[in-house]
Amino acid sequence: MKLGGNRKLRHCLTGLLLLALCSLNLQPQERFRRNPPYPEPLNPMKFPPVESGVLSSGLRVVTMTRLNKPLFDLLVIVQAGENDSPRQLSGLATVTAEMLLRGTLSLSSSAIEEQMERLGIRGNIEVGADYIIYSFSFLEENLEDVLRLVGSLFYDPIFSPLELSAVKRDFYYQQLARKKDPEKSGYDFFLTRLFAGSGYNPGVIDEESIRNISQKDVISFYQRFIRPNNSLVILDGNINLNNASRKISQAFYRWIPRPVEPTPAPHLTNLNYQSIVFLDLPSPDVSVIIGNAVSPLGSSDYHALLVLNQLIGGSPASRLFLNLRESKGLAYYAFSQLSFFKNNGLFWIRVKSSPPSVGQVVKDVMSQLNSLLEARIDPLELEKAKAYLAGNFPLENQLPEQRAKRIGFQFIYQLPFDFWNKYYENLLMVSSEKVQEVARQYFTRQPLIVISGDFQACLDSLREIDRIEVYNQKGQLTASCEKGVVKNETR
Amino acid sequence: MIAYKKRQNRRLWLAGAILVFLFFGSGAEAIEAQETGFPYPLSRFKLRNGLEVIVCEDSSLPLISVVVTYAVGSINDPENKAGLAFMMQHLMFQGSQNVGPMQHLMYIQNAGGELNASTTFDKTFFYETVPSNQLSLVLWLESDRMNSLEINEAKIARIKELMLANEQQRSLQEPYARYFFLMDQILYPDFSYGHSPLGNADNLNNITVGDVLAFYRRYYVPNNAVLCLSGDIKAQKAKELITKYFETIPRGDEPPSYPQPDFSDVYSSRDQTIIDPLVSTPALEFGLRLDEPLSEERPALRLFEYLLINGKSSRLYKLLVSRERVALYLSGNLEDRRSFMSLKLFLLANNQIMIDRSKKLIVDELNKFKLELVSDRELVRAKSKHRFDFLSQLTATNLDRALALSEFYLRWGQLPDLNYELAAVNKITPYSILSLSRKYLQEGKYCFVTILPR
Repeated sequence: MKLGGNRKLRHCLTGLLLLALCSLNLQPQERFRRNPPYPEPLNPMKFPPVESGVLSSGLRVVTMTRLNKPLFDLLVIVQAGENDSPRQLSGLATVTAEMLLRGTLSLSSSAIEEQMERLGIRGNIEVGADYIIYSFSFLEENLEDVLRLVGSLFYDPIFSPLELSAVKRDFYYQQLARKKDPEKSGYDFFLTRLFAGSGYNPGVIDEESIRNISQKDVISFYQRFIRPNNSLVILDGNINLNNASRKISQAFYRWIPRPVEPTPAPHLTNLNYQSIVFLDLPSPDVSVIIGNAVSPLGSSDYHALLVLNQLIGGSPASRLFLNLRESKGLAYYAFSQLSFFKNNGLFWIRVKSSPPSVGQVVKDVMSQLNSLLEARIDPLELEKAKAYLAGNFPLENQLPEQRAKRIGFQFIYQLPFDFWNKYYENLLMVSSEKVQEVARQYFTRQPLIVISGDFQACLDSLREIDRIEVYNQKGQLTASCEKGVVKNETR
Repeated sequence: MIAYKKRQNRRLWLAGAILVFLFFGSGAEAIEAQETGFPYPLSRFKLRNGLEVIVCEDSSLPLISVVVTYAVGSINDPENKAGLAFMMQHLMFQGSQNVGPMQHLMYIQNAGGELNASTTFDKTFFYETVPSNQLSLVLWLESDRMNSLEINEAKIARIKELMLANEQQRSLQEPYARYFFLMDQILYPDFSYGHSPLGNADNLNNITVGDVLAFYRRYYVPNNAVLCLSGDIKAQKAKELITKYFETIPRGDEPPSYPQPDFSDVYSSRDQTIIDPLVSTPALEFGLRLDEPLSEERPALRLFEYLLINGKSSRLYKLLVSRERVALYLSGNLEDRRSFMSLKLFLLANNQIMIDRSKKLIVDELNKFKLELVSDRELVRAKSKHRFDFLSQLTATNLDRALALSEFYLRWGQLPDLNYELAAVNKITPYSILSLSRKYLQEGKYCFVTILPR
């Protein structure tokens, strides 16, 4: 009996054991593995609470309160940039911006560097057409020392001639290197052509003009534009507006306001460009830049433009990349993007390709743009584009510096106060009709097409094109080409 | 007969015990919250298949980063098959049972997320950052390729071709890169430590489907991995999801122990000059291997790196770039390879005279560390910069934090204690640096490689 009981128990246990083992490892794959899970509802990103006030010097102070973080971020945004450099001195804004870190009445350039490291500061300067942004990340415990140091950079700069030569030399070589890159030089040429005659400099720098920048020019730019009443300070960290205003006014009190006359920034028109422009430079690769003017940041078309951009070329999942690279192998990459300036916006496409493929690339990009004017946008594609933009928005704003910069743009471009917090709401409202309406508004006319690379190597592939104007790296017209027939310019 | 009965009884007990374990003891470990001085709640637990999980909760943005780190890298490449670990990284994007080739990428991009992967000498990281509502998608994707990667001849051939094309392009675009590996070969005269993780044509062609499968089965198993989540998630919810997607992935065999070669003190070459037509500017590499530094010496070594080379106010940058102007460009670091560390420097100069002068200045400056105490001012600067970098890495983005936590956990088997780590560096005195310098900066072990254009 005992043995029989044991046997039964043994069989029973063995059966259960087998069952348990089967249920663990030997069963076919679980059902949930077959398909991707549905996402949970999206949790929209909210910017941290923003407070703002203006000091007696006219300096605007903005705080973005962030608790329990050991680091602070400080942005000083000057509302002047390369558009404020005199025409014959492009690069002056960039050189002046850099010179502020190259010595004060009491600190040499290397002493500033050492102080910054001693205070645990990581700094960066960005110069655009309409702004100069100084950003500093640093240790919370050094807040007051950092403000004192940064304040002195703005009210006590000495602009030493020796440092100026070093800054100009570095900048000159950077610009020379930029000129050798077909995409960067192509984009600069595209901007120059697009803004030609407007009197606005979108940030294109002629390296030869850097040589002409003198100490006097730098001082003049500083005195005219780098003023507290033309700037704002954004402090992102564990601090409220009252405390921040008190500390900033103590640290920047010697920065004297002066009247600032803003440089005009005219509205561009979406034009019809008749011929293709070729920038001839030695390179094995070819870059194609295609674009036109669109409405500025904050316009009612902004969110529809974002969706349109995403459909066309915002990511590797967009039409251009899938068509030109993945399906046809015509390009190394193909993307589109939006760039914004004061009173203007640009939609532009950039493709990196090879000489034999460039003609087909131009043809395909144009047919992609035209298809948006005619064919109805697939609702699924539209929803995918919106889902991407909604999901990617917090990724674009991960760093405190990125969030602070967006808040800074609210002030520079006079956007509504809740502009970024309404991002999702406005994005969700974009319909396929609105996207198509925006596409028709901006893509009906022939966009500006700039190709940069080796003209002779590309010629075969461009024989079907009606008219091409060929320019050298100095921007001089050297030849024209009609249906593959080249005519040299004698001018 | 009695013996038989006893055996039978033992079997019954054993079966019973296994059942009890399977039914009652099969769940993952309880979540263990850790006090680490972090501004975010940090916890860890382990699934029964051995997968270690770290969760860092930060709801300031609706984002989450997921990092899966396998404790495998180029150090595990079999001899004559250099590049296998890196090839495996590529193959992880080539499809698994339920995810088509490159679909991993498309799923993440369609969600607005970003992803990447990297292979170091002893770890392979796969990481994604997505809006937090897409966490399940990432766990589904990562668990599928951990569970059922699909490998075949055609995929391997494609990846070999890609790796060789990339390598060819890299050798043209970054002509100095090959000399970094040459320095590794000199400092670590052993295949596992000293070969290029990128492989080469001969080695890649030696790799077969069988090698790849064996490598995957050996190292890409839950008990050889750490999964770290950082972002908008609560630990309990994370545990539920991770258990669902990962717990049924079978545990693998115990991975082999970490290779510990016994390097000879004699280098194959201590000072060599190479003429390379592909380079346009003369360059100099410096290397020094530090054998088996003690764990209590590591904070001082970290600070030594800041004093010597990290930042524009560091000794060598000020000397070679700012003051003497012999170097056009200078970079360097103290590389950590578990039982070994190595000090590596790289500089570009205008001509060979400047290179020779740089060599002398480097040696003199290193000797100064053995003779003189560093100033308090220098030490304060180094400590501040280190503190900023350390905190920045652990607090800036979810991805940086998840990568740093995973790396730390794999290295030390525990989560970092922020306060302890910072206090350890803060305690360093000029005397600690002096004694460390006297121990490790032995001129007879300095290595130089000069690369000159034709």
